[in-house]
Amino acid sequence: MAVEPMLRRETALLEATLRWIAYIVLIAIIWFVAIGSYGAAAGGG
Amino acid sequence: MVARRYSGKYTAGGRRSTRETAPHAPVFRGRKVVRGKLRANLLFFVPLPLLLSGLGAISNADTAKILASLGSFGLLILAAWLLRDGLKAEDAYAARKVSRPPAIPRKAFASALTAAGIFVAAWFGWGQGIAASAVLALIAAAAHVAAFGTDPFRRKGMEGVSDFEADRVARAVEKAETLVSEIMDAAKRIGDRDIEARIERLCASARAVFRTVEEDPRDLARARKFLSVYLMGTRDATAKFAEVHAQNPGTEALHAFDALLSDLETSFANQRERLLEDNRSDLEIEIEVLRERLQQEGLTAR
Repeated sequence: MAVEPMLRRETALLEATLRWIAYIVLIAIIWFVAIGSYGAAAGGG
Repeated sequence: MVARRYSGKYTAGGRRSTRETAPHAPVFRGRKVVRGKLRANLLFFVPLPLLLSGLGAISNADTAKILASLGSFGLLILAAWLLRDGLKAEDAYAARKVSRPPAIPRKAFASALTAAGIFVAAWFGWGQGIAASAVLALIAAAAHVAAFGTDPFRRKGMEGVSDFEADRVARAVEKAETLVSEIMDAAKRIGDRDIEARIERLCASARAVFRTVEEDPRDLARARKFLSVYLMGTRDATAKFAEVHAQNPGTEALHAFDALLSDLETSFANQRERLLEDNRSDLEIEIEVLRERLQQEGLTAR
């Protein structure tokens, strides 16, 4: 009987975790590209 | 920061009115919570190295690098700004029972701009190949969508109601919400925490009326006067009081405004009950009384 709420809770938890992972990936890409660009400008100058 | 006067029950010359000690709604009722605000705000800071790189390129007079760095920085900041607005719009959509999707799909634009910013920075700034830059841009866009979701695109709570009627309700509530935020802006200018808290509670009562109208769009005809007369009157009164209070923070205007606020508090609370009770004539009388009251105070909506 209590399976459905539990399943719903677990799905929500999974979704939140995936959102956080995606967020970390996004931040990492922006950061590395920005730092790479900075490094290229500093090295190339 | 503007200095605000803190006063309470035990402050010397503290509470000015005994009426406001009446029980009222909890302070946090009706306040808006913006989800993911911190996460969205962090996106304003992460591209900062691009700005530094752009400034460095300026000192080297490297035009291509200046354009690449500052251009991609601009794109990413614009994306962060759109995302923050998109999250706000999504929260406003979620808070209402009847709502239209936001006119501009800000989150979708934010994802696209993030991809564009990453592509420009990786290709022109960092010097990666076009394929690698495109892949990075695509991953960034996908991560953006996965992290923040998409914009609401369906009309909500409009089942069983004609499109025309539902649109009218959504439009009227949107307009009234704008008035409420103008009232809150004017309240902040007064710089008195006590008054500001009362106005905030007043706005919470107004929002309760909006939700009632959304539940039953037939109430719109009767609530229309409330949505215009009461709210516009309150906005004008608050703005005028803020102006007067800034020039001359005397007690006379304060008492008059205090009394008006008490009347409005009662009227706002009654309004919702009246709507629920379907008592038309009482409502009309109530509005007439308020209109006269506002006229006497010289605070009618222009």
